Formats: sequence, structure tokens, C-alpha cells
Amino acid sequence: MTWDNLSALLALPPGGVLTAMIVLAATMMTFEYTRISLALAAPHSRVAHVSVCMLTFPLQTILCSFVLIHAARAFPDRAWLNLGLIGLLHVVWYLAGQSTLIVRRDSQGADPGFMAVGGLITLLVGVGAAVFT
Amino acid sequence: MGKVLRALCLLTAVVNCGGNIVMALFYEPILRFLNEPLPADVYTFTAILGFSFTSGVISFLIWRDPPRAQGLLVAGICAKGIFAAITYLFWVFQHIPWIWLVFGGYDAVMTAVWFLYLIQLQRPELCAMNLGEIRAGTGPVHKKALFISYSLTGNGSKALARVRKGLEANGYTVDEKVVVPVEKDLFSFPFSFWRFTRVMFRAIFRTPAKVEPLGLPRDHKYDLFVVEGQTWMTGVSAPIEGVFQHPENQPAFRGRDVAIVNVCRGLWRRSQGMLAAWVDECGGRVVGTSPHMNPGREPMRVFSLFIFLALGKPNAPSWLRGWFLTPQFLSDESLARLETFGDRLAKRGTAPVEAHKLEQVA
Repeated sequence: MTWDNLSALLALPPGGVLTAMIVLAATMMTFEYTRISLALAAPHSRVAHVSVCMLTFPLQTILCSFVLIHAARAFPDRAWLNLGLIGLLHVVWYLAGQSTLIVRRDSQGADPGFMAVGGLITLLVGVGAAVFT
Repeated sequence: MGKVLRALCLLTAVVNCGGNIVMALFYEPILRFLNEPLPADVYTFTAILGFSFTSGVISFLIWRDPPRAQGLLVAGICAKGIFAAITYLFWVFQHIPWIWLVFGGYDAVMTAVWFLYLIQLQRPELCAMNLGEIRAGTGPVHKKALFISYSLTGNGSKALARVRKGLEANGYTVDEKVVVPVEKDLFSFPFSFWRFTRVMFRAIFRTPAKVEPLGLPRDHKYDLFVVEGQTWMTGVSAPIEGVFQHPENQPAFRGRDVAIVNVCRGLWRRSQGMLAAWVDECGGRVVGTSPHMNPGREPMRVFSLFIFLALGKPNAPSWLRGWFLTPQFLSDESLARLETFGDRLAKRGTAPVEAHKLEQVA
């Protein structure tokens, strides 16, 4: 396995969409669980706090935007379809957050507010990638 | 749910420890039976089995004493998560035998389970208080409370006024100290764009804000502090944190009861955790928490907040009013709950001295 394999996977190729989505969904889940578990961890740590801020939406948005641009360059005819796939990832992101309410009623779950901010930025990037490639 | 998560830890301990011993002893017949090739590199194969066995030991230690095993849970999450990710990618690209995918799949599930378990185990007393519990205080009760507040927009002040009502109805005398930041010009509302940007980045990178000392003697008569903290970029507002960072203020909290009120758009959990950690470090005891969010639905609420911060006044611009903008102040329902919170704080009991001391030792 090489970085080239991974790069090819993140281009959401026609034969590897399911594999890519599994990898990306697992990453989104990890981000959200990390954000929620860091909320009460290391309360005076700058690194922990910056991480929580980045995991509120910027990291997810950077990842999704990168995938959309990268995929649009590799397979321009699939750029609009990819927007739907990234939309699905946002559903996974939301469900991951909400699943924490099962084990802790005060976990606050997902934050649809900042998710929407991230989603809007991703949507603009995705539309731009679809139009200009 | 906690019992299920704990049972899964024991199951994982048995599966990882037992399974790897069996695999190490009988891998040849097992792989032949499964029609899979024997490992080309026995050293690497055995090392993986040893690593997986260790993961089982971690799981056993978590099962034995979950509240004290939060560090082990983090280690377990990393170990299982990384193994699951590597196994899946190598199965996709290198076509390793399917049996490894079964192991990787199990570890992926356990990674999620351990994340959830970690979230459940963190500061359970805060969870109980957020769901309405009021803890017994350290006593003695002089029926004197001090409110510590810093409210840019007035939302927090309104919240504290209702807590005050609840306390005063039960014979409490309430004084209030409004936190005064040294950089008054920076922390004032409404913001200019650059001042907002500066405050935002300072909040993200936790740049401390110096505040004037509260000026409380160590033997003050307040038996209860009520601290009101807003959320700035997922953490507590810098001036309120500045109160606890000031070395002259810290002794005032020793042996006193502290209630935490959070008022924000949406994310109060880290902000509350930060305040609770400061109270602990100063030797105080958190007896109650009351987090409140502004009314309205997402995502309109988050956009309304940014519009409010940008324009410096609520319900503007007028063309967004009624269908998009959400209120920037707590609802009547939240305010009523804050009054009840004050009432219940006033009626809190006193924990036996021995129990409190034991808790501190623990």
C-alpha cells in the first residue's frame, strides 16, 4: 500500500466508491467522537482546545473540500455525483454525534449549527469544482 | 448502558487474550482448515499476535476498574483504531487473507464502543448535575452568596438575576462582582470586525485575559459562589477564566460551594468542564450546574448569532426578522428553570465532613 493508492482512493473512482466511503465515514466518525470526548479532557490544554475548535467543523470541511476538488480533477464527469456522496458523509457525521446521546444524555450530540456552516463551505467548493473542471 | 459497555470490555479481553494464545499454538491447522495460506513471515505474524494479546490485557484492565482506566481507553482506542484502519487498507490494496478483515472489523467496532465508553465515564458527576442533581455542599451555610459574572450582551446578567430570585426567596443575601478585564476596550460589545477577530483567535488559542482581583479575604462569609460563564469558541470566556487564573482569587474558593451557570448559543460542555476543573483546582466543590442555550433551531441559530455579533443588535436586519433570525436571549422557560435552580441551591444539604475529605483524597 502506498500514498498513491490512498490518493487514488480519495478521488472516488467509479470502481472504488464504497471503499472510499468506508474510509471517509470512519474518519468522520473518529473526528466527531474525538471532539466530544475532548470536551471534558485536558481542560487547560491549548492543544486540546485548538483540536476541539478544529474538529467542530474546519477539519471535516477541509477533508471534504479536498476530496471534492481531487475527485473532480480525476473524474470531471462525476463531480455532481460526488456532492451527493459528501452529503452522505455529513449524515454519518451527524449520526456519530447523536449516537453519543445513547451513553450520555448531556453529551450534546452533534452540533448541526456549525455542521451547517461547514456544509455550506463544502457545497460552495464542490459546486465550484464541478463548474470549473 | 454502562453495564453493556463494560461487558463488551470483558468479552474483548477474552477474545483477544484467548484467541491469540490459541492462534499462536494452532495457527497451522487453523489456517489450513480455513484454506488460507500460512504466514510468509512468522516473526511478523507472531508480533501481531503479541500486540493483539496486549490489547486484550488493556481491555481486561479497563473492565476491572473503568473509572480509573480512562487513559487505557485512549490507548485502546488508538491501538484498535489504527489496527482496523491498516488492516482494511491492506485488505483493499494488498489482498491479505479475509480472516484479517474479521479481526480488523471487530477492532473497528470496539474503537467506536470504547469512544462511547470514554465519553460516558468522563466526569459523571457533571452529567448527574446537568440532569438536575444538586450535590450536598461543604457547609457551614451562612446564607450568603456571591455571583461572579461577565456578560457582554446582557444575556448572562438576566440569567443570574433569576438565580438570585430563587436564592433570595430562601433567605439568601446575594452580592455580585462583575468581572473587570484589564483590557476593557478589547472586551466590549458591540465589536468592530477586527476586535471580534482578535477576541475570536485569542479564544481559540486560549490567550489569558488579565482581570482585576475580586478583593475577597480568605475568611469571607460567602458559602456559595455562582459563576456565570459564556462560551467563546467552545471554551469558557477569557475574563471569567481570568478570575480563576488570578492567584489572589484562588484561595477564596477553597472549601466553598460553587454553582456553574452556562449561557450560550449551543456548545456549553467544554466551557462547563473548564470551569469545573478550575473550581476543583482552587479547592472548591461544584454543587450544581445549569447550562442554557438560546432558543431557536439550527442552523438558523448559529447564523443569527454571527449576524447579531456583527451588527451589535438583536433582530436585525429587519428583512430577516420573523422567518430566519432566532432570539439572542434566553427563553422564559430557561429563565424559570434558573429560578428553580437558585431555589434548589439554597436548599442544598451539607455533605458529611468525612465523606467530603475522602472524596478530596480520592
